[in-house]
Amino acid sequence: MATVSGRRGLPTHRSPLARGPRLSISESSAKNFALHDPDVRLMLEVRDDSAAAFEELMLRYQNRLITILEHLVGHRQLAEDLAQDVFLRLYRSRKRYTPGAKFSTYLFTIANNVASNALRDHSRRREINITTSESQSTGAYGLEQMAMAASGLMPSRQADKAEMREVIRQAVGTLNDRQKLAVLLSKFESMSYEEIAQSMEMTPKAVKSLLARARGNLRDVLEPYLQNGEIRPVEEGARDTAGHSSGLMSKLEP
Amino acid sequence: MPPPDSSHFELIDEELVAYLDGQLDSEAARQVEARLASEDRVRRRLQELAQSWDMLDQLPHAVADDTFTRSTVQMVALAAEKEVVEQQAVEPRRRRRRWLMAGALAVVAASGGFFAMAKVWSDPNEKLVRDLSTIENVESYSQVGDIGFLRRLSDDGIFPDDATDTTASKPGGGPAERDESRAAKEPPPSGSLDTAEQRRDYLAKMPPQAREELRSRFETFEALSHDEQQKLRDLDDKLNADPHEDHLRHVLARYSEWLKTLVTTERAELSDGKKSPAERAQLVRSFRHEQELRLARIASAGQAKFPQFTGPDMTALHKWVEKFAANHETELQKDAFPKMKTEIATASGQHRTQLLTWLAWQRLRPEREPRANESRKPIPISEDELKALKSQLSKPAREALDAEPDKQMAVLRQWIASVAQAIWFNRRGGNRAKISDEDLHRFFETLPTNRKDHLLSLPADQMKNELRMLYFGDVFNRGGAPGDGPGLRDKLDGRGGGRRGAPNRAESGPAKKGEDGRANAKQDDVPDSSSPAKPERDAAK
Repeated sequence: MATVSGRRGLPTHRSPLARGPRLSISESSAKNFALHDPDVRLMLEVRDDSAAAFEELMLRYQNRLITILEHLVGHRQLAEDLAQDVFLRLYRSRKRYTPGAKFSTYLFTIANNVASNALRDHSRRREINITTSESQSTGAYGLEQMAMAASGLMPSRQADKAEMREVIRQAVGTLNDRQKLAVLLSKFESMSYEEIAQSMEMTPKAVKSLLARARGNLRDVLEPYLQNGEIRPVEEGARDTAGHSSGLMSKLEP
Repeated sequence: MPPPDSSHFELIDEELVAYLDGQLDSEAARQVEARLASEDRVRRRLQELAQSWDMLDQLPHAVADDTFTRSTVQMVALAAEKEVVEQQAVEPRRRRRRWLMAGALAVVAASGGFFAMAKVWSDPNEKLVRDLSTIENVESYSQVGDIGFLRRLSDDGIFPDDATDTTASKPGGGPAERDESRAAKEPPPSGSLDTAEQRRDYLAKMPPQAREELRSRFETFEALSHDEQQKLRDLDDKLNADPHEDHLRHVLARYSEWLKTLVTTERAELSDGKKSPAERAQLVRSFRHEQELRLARIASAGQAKFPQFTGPDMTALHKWVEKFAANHETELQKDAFPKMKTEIATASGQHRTQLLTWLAWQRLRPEREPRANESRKPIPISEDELKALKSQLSKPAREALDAEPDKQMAVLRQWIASVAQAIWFNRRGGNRAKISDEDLHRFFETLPTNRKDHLLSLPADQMKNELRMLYFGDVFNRGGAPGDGPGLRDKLDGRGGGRRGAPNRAESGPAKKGEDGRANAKQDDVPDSSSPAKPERDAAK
């Protein structure tokens, strides 16, 4: 399998001029990707400076990219800015592109790095003004309202579709950034663990573990809704940044 | 039986989730299935995990709007332009640096600098050192193929030294024109480092960015077959030995730049090894001719909509937009996309002016009307600014604007959009084919007297500029699609070949290809998202 390595912002493949151990992509696997992934063929045209191919790739991926980024960072405008950054980096790195994986894996590796940088900056800002940040990211049915509903201050009720979507959005919001990205790549891009691992620069085993914790968290938050369609507050434990729900084990106990 | 500890359940979740995702091998899957069959608790857990996962299907999917697409393409187009500017700026420095390095190398050698050399270049790549000149030019050498074709391009004057054949885009006078002109004066590196030691030193001291580019070229070179590599080496040797090396390298650089304005199929047609140099040169003329016609179509469309605005008016408009950009620098920068802000912040001099002017063109166009929640609003044109522009316009143009005072701003913005489109088309369309003075002269003789008088009253360069626009406008106004009938088209076809060399394409002809709005037109007009439909591609995904 192709190797995607290390520089911040861009997936790079080692070349003969690089120092250190050479992690090469076999010619046959490169040809294989080029043959079977039409987007790889497009990217090869982009490498040859075809503006038409670049635009085609962009049109194919812009919605997918913005979708992932929006769920990741929680703001549409920021997601669009980041998506532009990703496309710009893709263009600037075109001459170094070598087919070594599905094109989507390559693209989302760039997206991962771009989003990680943005989220790091964002979290720094949140430390300064956490109140503003939280109020921005909370939707129409915020945590407070959900807590009120659960505590009996509001009558328990069946959630409608919009509310349900909001609950799901908030459930995803309880995941830490890496869990969230792994979930989004798995859900929206149908990526295998191997591909997610490449995009997130980790091992498939770590991805397996990450996804299990993430989905355990999702299950915990969404479980009441699954039972009877009621909204209830997101537990603090489920928002544990370590990504593991403290309530999970007790629920499994007989 | 004691209750399982937490790590045990973590492992269960891992296996269940991987099972749901189809990521387990058959043995592990079988083990999970065995537990599911025997343990209610595990079965329930699997069900909950699956249900909560399915709920995520209801998360909304984003749909990018046209503004996003357009602004992203524009950003990338800017990045591409900047690349060209930087490359061209680097070339002369690189050449000077080589000589400086050669001098420095002598000093190092004289002071027993062998060890210093060994330190900075501890991993010499003999192939890279040996073929440095070829590798640096691998892309352009591969494109041109053999020196016979290059000489043919040179002899036929298809890519002339001077950049005087600029026409319809002159009013725009955008960066691309200046870049091309600069490219013409700065041929690429000529492989002036004679010894392996000089090349090693050059490599060792290469800045990271240049090293990165060379790395990419080395990989490209390595991917070629032995015969192909040898062919490029031969081309390099012949070029180095040619008495007209500088001129040939200049043609090579311009040809290489021009190729970027073509789509893949056209490039493939040009690199067809079965064609003779003469046939390939003919094809180049044909493609350039088509580009010229497309440009004319846009220019004449603008002309048709705004017949009162002539070439000098466009020149005046461009100068006015440049001034407008300078006056509204803060506003333009404030609402620019983040990347553009960075570009402007790091740019200086002419490049900065170009970026700001480019932004101004965009912000003055009527189709830049923003979405409700968009901050990038068109910048209003003040009365004084309008007055300043009018004072520079021809009388007919002024009258056209004054005809309906209520609508003059709208008319002005539409005219700006029309000119901006022509500028962009032309910038992305590469160099234009040369039209002989004889053709222009013959065309001039066919014009009505008042038009002749008007042209004769203009300075020479403006006259030629406007005459060329009229020339191509006439082609379209008379014959519709070029290639279908008599008139000036015949002259063009006779001069430039008119039709593709490939027999199977002769029937459809160049016009038909241009008319269907396929990728070449789109590529040439990259920043404009209103460009024609995209070519059919594999839709598999």
